[in-house]
Amino acid sequence: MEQIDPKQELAFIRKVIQDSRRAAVDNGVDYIVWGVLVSLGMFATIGLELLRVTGTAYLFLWVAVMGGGWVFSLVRHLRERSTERVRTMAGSILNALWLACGIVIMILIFVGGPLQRGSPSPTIAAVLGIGFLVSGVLLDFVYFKVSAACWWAGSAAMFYLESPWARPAHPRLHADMLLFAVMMILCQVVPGIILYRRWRNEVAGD
Amino acid sequence: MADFDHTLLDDIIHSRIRLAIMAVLVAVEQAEFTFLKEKVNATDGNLSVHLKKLDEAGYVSAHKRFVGRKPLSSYRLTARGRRAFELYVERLEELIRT
Repeated sequence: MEQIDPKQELAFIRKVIQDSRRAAVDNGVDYIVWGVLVSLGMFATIGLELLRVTGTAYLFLWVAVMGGGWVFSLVRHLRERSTERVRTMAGSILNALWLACGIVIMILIFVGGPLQRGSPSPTIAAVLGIGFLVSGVLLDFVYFKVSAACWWAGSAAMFYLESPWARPAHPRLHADMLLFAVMMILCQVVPGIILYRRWRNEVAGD
Repeated sequence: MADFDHTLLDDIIHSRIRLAIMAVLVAVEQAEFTFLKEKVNATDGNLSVHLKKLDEAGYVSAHKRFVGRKPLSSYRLTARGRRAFELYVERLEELIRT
């Protein structure tokens, strides 16, 4: 016969599980880089519109923006995968989620936008809302949950700004794009920086 | 403290280090040897012995790879190991209830 305290054993198990989960949080770098890239792309698009530039300049700009983002993410992912010390189910789900969102956004930018002759930003904002809510739940990160709500509210506003009922502030200024660019900074780059700080604190505290 | 028949609990898991290894692997999908060593707070030799025992019982599976010239071993819980761990936790909870 052996004496143990089952409560103590269970508390020990819970603590180990909690500590191990903490070690695998996202560091937020992808959100910061993509947010900066896309908002710069948006501001550049607005600039090109105001300068009355036509033709393939927009296509080249967005191929450069999206291509740059994908190359950055791919290189980072491959580098981290070769040196990663721990892999979690939540991390795998996050990777799959953002890959799926990224593919949908690419379709909207390079296929939906040109074919429909409308701005894809309201739909992209709605897709980002899904990505941020799921990420917020998986990472237990309230800023992303708030971001998701903001992206959906922003999506509704962008649909209105693109509609025939909205009065344009300037005939060549796409207000939905301006809103999208500002939201990219406030709802993606800023929470990304907060997540990065949380990750640094957790790594330092390990 | 409760007196109980130790045969009710899985002998393979019923060791502090092996229990900790199993708990870490339940929380993550896959973990490298150095990560387990940090979390479990064990020496290389001690951890290797316990991982070998869990591997032989079919509770964990090992994957070896090279990064440059450096060999890295990663471990993950098998379906059998996950079931055994769940059963172990269930037994502990039963003990608390009774």
